[in-house]
Amino acid sequence: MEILDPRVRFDEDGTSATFDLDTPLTGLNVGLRLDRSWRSYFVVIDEWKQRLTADGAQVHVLYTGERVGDEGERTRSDLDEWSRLVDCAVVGLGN
Amino acid sequence: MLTTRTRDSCGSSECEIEPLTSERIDAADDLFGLYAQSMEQGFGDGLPVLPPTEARVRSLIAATPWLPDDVVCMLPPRNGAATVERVAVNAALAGCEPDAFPLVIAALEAITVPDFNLFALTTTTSSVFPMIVVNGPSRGRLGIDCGPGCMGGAAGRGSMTIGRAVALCLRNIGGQRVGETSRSVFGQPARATGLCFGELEEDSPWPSLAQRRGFPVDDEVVTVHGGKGTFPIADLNTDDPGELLALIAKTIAYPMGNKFLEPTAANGQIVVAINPVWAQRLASAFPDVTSAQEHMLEHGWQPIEAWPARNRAILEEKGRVDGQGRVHVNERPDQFELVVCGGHGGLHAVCLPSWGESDMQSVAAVRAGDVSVQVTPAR
Repeated sequence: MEILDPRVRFDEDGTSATFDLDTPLTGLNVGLRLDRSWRSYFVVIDEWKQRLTADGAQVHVLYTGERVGDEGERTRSDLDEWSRLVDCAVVGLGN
Repeated sequence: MLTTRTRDSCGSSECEIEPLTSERIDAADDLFGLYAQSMEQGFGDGLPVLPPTEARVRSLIAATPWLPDDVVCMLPPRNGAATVERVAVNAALAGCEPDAFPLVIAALEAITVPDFNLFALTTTTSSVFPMIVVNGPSRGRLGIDCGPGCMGGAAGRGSMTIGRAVALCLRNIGGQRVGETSRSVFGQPARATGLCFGELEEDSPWPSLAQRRGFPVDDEVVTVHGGKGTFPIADLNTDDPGELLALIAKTIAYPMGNKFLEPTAANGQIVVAINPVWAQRLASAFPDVTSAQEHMLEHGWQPIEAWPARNRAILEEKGRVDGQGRVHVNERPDQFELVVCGGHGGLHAVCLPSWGESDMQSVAAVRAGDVSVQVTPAR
């Protein structure tokens, strides 16, 4: 029998996209965004910040909070402001 | 949502010239073969499925005022377009009957309201999943279980298919896949079967959940809650209603609940399903449900000493500890949502713990012929 396909066909696979800067880090504004609930990443952030700074980058760390309600509004405002500061960023460090 | 049209139509979705654009699959003729095929090709959920034939899908669409290519929502995590047609295909897969299909649509509309935070729910390490509470006059007709076994075992068709249809949409349209886009450590049964039950409005001493959320009593309302599972509560000993409710509040404020991981207690609701016997007992002391919710707020906390020292420091740093050394699970009374349902055996309640960063949402279902529907043609 013929049935209809219930799936959306996605063009690319489900893994996170990765990017190459193709440029030295010197003078670049690099953002690191972390959900502050995920404290294990604090250690990671500290290490990356040191290394990025050593390579000449200007590092901007953003610790985000809740995503709904009044706190969510503040989080979105912080993200908006932070996104204007950076040339590139590492995000998704959290849950 | 549901205001777009991609082309002018001749009107009713029963119109046969409206093509269904889903790809076709040459499926096995027998249901065992179809089940195996659903597993091999990845459009199943591990449970047996029913064939979403064109006729079946059209019958579901015809129960709504929408056309097949109307977009209900974009479903995370991969932002697949949930057209009415695609939703109907998945609902047919789940065995949803046409009369229940408008509630599937309403549930998808509700879970994609931004403050429900669906992208986070579909990708998290947590077990959270959209849980559905139904209010209104169609519960019995649709087989939405409200009484004994309402959270599993009563086997009403609506209860067993509406939630599952939503789950299949998240898999097949949203692209939620464990180990890929979903990092859920354990999952939970509702991620396959869904959880959809009704409020036992007839036995409730209080206004229904839908009424409290602003809907007329005759509306068919779907309320969605990001629930982490079903957490059973039992008591044989407490006669006093105030003490019983206080004990319930203390129980649901368990230290390793998600609400205590958040920076604030302000977001999310905790749903407590109260059996009708307890509801009457509680109402004798709390005839107004808000007084019951206030009582729960008063008792819904743990002493900071319940946590180890390291955790205490984190809670204090987050400002979660009040002047009396208490950590409250919620910030406001209305975050304790009482829903009367279940059997008359008493003794039990069920908590649907909150994931935290997700606010409950409610949408009224819309049916074919509903004259109040306004549709904006696409530009």
